[in-house]
Amino acid sequence: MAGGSDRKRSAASAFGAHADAYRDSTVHREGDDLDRLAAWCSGADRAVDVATGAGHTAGALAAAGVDRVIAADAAPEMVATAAASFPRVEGVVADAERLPFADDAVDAAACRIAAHHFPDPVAFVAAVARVVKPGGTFAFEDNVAPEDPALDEFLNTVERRRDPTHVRSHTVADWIGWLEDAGFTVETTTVVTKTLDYTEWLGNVDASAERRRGVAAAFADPPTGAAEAFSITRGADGVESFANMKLLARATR
Amino acid sequence: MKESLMDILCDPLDKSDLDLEVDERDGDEIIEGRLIGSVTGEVYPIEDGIPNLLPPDMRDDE
Repeated sequence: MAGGSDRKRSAASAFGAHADAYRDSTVHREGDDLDRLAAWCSGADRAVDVATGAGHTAGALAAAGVDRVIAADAAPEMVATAAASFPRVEGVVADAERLPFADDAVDAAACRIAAHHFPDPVAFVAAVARVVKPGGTFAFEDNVAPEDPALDEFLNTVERRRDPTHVRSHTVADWIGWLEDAGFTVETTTVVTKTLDYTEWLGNVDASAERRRGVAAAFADPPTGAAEAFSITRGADGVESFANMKLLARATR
Repeated sequence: MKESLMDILCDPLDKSDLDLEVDERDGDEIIEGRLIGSVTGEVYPIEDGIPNLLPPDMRDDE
């Protein structure tokens, strides 16, 4: 898995460089989804937020009453930002697929809008299942792709052109299958739609002019059904907004 | 990191226990030091209070 490691190291490095942009990003800071994930974990004494980024979810878990919250991320700069921004949160630099925690170490785990960067989602889910105690909760959220293969391919193409560290947005069915295979019972799933301002979405990763051209080219030639599936709006200067889907899943072990 | 975090930390390579070596502490907070895999011998640094438990293939050589 040397390729996977290189890819993850590259992703971690890219996130470190954009720590401030992510902390200020409205998509990553606001929303009912964060409250819902935190509420699912609120009964835990100890929880880990995997791929915490700037620490919003870890901070929300602490605010929801979780006594000890560990903020884990592969980018040291992100962990430092999370720990500095949320004083009750303990930072650990860690790989989501090889978590450095003992079996049954936590009562709850969260992972919010990050797993599309993981090369091996099956290994990630297995790692979470290992560290969550029996009866514990996994609060999961990530971007998902439509079941239609052409729309799935379109979404993942634009995401990858915008941000080369994007590995794949998987389908809802993929995630439910992986969670169940790892021994989780999927209690609740919700798919929410978020409208993204096109310019802001590109700005969050500081996309180069070349990457912006690549994204624009994909949006200029979308597959049948894309305009409706992604609620694409266009103005005089091109795409103004589009919507993507996120899965929220509450699973118990 | 708080020293009590040692209760749940393990070596990411084989999940075995880690040994703690402290260079600087502030009460129960470990500021600088290292975690060493008791089986693998791998050394994981603690810098500015944060343990870096990335497997060696993901750590930047600095």
